[in-house]
Amino acid sequence: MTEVLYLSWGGSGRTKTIRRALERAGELDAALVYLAVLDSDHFGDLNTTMSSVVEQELHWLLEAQLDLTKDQVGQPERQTRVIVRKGNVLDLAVETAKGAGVDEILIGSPVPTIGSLETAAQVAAELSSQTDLPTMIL
Amino acid sequence: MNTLVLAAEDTNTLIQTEIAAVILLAIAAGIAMLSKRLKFPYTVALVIGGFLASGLGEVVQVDVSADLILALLVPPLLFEATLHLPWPKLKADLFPILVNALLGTLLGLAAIGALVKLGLDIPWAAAFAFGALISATDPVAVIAFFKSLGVPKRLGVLVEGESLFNDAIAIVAFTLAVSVAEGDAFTVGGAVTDFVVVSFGGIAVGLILGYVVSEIILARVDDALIETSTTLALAFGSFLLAEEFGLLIGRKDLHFSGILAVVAAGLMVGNLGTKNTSPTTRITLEHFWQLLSFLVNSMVFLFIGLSVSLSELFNELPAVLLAIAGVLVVRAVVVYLFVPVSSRIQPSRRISKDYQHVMYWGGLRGAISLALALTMTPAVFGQETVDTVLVMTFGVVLFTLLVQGTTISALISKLGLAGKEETELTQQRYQALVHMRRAGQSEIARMGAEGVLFDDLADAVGRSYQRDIAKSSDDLVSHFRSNPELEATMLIQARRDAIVAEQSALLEIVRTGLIEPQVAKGLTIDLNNRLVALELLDDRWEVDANVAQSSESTAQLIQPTAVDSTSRAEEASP
Repeated sequence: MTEVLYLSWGGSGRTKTIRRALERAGELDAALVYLAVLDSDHFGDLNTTMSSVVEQELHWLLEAQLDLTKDQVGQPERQTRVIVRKGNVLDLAVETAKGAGVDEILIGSPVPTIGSLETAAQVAAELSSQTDLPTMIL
Repeated sequence: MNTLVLAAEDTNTLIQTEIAAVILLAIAAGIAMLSKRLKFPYTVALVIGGFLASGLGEVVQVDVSADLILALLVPPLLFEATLHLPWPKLKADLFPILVNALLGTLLGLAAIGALVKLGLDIPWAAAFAFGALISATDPVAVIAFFKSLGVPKRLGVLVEGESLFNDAIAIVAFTLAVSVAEGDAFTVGGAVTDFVVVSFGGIAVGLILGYVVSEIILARVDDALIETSTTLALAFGSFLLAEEFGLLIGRKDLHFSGILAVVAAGLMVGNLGTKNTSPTTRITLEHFWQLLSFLVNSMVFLFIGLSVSLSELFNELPAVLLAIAGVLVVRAVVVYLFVPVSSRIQPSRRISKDYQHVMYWGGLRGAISLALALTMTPAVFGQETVDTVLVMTFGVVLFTLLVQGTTISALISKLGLAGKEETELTQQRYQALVHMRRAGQSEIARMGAEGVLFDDLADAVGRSYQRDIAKSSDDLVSHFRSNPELEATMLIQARRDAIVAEQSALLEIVRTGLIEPQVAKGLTIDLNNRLVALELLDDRWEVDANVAQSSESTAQLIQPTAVDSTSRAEEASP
């Protein structure tokens, strides 16, 4: 089955983009893989225990939010999966996209900076270049 | 006109003191009501209120002793502030906070001290004492704005944390300057040793007492009144024990910092003790310390207003302006130089420019500065010097409160850091309507069931309520659909409430003896960790990273063609 990867590494703007990501998955009749990355800049100082609890809580919150949004956009049956990882955003996105065999990558805009990449367009271009996948800025 | 004197140490004027206290409380309550209605900063209104009261014929004359301020008013202020500082968040930003607090206070002591020494030719010890006392920032007015405007919690922790530590450091430095003025020999090495002994001694006393109260009393006693009383005893007891520690071991000259003891004890209780208590105790503690803080703040800020004389301020205007300039320049150096350096050393806790602007303009001076200035005695420093220092302190405090305190909210809004916008207030209104109407419906049902209302009437009114509830619920749902960004906050809040309910359920199971203590301990730690995790996510995932909302622009698709990444980025740039 077709899969699209929605990538997020935080930010209050994600509520609208999750909605758009589900709509895009609907257009492609694809399952949505939600990759949430706890990036090293913001979560690198946590110890192993705390890091694990933060990952679990974020997983719980995102699953709840996906369920809610699926109902709101009229796609309660859409297949979704949440993956929470900690580390470098680009590396994990590329690794997950290649490992999961996704067909398209989605990111929101604007996004938090990743090193020198300051705009969603720069991140999208980098992702597209590294994965050879079409990348959509929502 | 009769003059009422507030002098707690004089037992002969007990009735007068009581009357004065009642009048001050009445003024404070009146001003609080007025400032709430006018949406004006409460502490600023108190100063103006006190100022007007003193100008209208000395209705209430303030005669506060140093002991009253330092031993009675300051400990509860600091203890209450520390109770709400979450250690994980404080720890995350401890480096920039300590850099600002320590280096900022030392820079203030040296630079402002030198400035007033050279500009006004007052003794070095008095100049350094002023430099130290005026470096203590007071976030009371600013934090009130932060809460009402819903600014990011991290910014609140940065401002409050810095204030807490620089208060403590300023008091220790001030005490050293005073002891030098009193004739104690001064050497740099001796001052550093004293500073370390006094500081770490105070912290140790506070941590030990705070731990004992948290782990023995709060964990084992389940009575909100007893537990709350214990925290009150802890706030004052830790201060006294640290200050008078030498008496315990037969060395009268040995003193630790009572202020740092209070700070350490408050942090211990706020982060360890309250986790060992029932929800009822937590609520009681919260209300009690809020009330005490309100009362003490009211007194201190009223004292500020009552103590200021317009004519003295005008007479010493050059000195006051010099002090204000010194404070603003030193604050600028602390924020715009030290903070970027901290961010460079610890990039994971980078502090944005917008945060820096708020930290700069939010560096108000208040209760601690005034309290310390009021403790300077003519016998040690000379009447003229004491008067000059007092007027400069009042001038700086008034300037920061009246100018910075009244414009900080505009700055926060202009920088886009105000989180609670109209949409969030509307959401709260719809939620409140649902709650209120459900309460009304339950009451009607109860009255119907008890026969107070006859059945047909109860049914009819109940149906009307049901329609109102349905309408409010629909409004809430529509509001969320129009403002989906509210969902993330609501989701975290709901999860937090659910975990707190799980904690209560666990406590209940432990009380009934259904599970072994070691099982309960493991589960308690897990629930506490989950609450901390939510705080971290709220702070770092929801707010820090991506503040702006997605635009409504059309989605852009970037294909993996041979175009180089730079040109693609330019094409697709939002």
